Amino acid sequence: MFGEAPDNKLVARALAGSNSAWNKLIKRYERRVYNYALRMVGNPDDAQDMMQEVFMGVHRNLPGYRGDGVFAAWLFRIASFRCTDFLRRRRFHSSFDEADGDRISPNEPALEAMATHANEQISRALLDLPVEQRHVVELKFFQHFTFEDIANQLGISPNTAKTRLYAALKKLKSHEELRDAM
Amino acid sequence: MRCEDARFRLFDYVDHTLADRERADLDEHLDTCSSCRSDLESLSDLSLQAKVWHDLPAPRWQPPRVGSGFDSSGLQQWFPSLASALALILVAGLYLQPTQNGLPAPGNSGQTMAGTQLPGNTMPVSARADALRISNRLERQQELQALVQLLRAEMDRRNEETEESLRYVIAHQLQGQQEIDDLYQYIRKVSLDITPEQEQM
Repeated sequence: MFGEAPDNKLVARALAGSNSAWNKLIKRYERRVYNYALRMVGNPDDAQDMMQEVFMGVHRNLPGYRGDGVFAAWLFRIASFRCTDFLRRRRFHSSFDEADGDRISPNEPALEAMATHANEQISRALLDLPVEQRHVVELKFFQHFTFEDIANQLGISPNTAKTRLYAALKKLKSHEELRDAM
Repeated sequence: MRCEDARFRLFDYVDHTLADRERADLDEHLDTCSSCRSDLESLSDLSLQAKVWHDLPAPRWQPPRVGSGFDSSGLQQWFPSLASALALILVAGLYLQPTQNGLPAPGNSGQTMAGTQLPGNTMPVSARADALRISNRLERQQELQALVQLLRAEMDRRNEETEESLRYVIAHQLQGQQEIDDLYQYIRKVSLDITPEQEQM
């Protein structure tokens, strides 16, 4: 009877000046975005920074949201863009230290802060993937988007998304730590 | 069905979005292909492993407020880039400004960075968070120094090119002048050789 207001209603109310609606929208998604960021960047500090960047991006772009699609897909399009940008910036700053700029060296203390052994193993396996493949795995298996949504969010074709997922699958298949997670 | 065709259908197979006929074809292929069967198992495993992830609570943070305004004009979207560009121009200008001995004055730029980089409390939270996060002061200073060096190298190169071009033009002008002088002397000599009688004719 008193179900939660749908996203689009909250967006409309936030745009009309309701702080309460805007905060509800953030509360609804911040945990999901934070965990997405955690898996993508591999440590809580960067994940918090990225989560903030995502919501700043949402705040800036909300007037442009037409409401003709699923709000979560729109939000994660911004998140994907912010994440790519974030990792590119981090890669730029650490490019002199890392042999392979495409991958992130797992930061041991940060991984230990992942709360559970399973989280730690999953993070370790994901961080071993190139960023493009990690993105597709994240959006498909953790966010449960369709390939059309993923393609739209990453600006690639659905077939490219499938190819990346397949390549990731081959790599993860041999990842023993991932088996330990279960 | 070939393995290449089966691979892409595996994802839809797991999602139960394949048409009955396609599903039957894939089942038939999976019965005979151990490699694709193994891929399907991995896919199912990965799907299960994703479910094992234990969501962590988001840390406390200060989200932007509606009161700070949803600006549909787009100015707000461009403001950070515009501010960065202006800061860059300002710092580059200070670096390029020569001192009495002709060298740049790093002290000046240091003061400017210290004065402009840290946003004041009057700035909105979003701008402060953006500014603090993007990079630390030292990194930015190093990037700017590299940029200034690049600009200087480019300016030097262009100056050299301009100087070379001017030298070429002046050399040709001098050569042309010499030819005109020679021609003038020749005409003068020829005209002097003409006798008064010939001139009257």
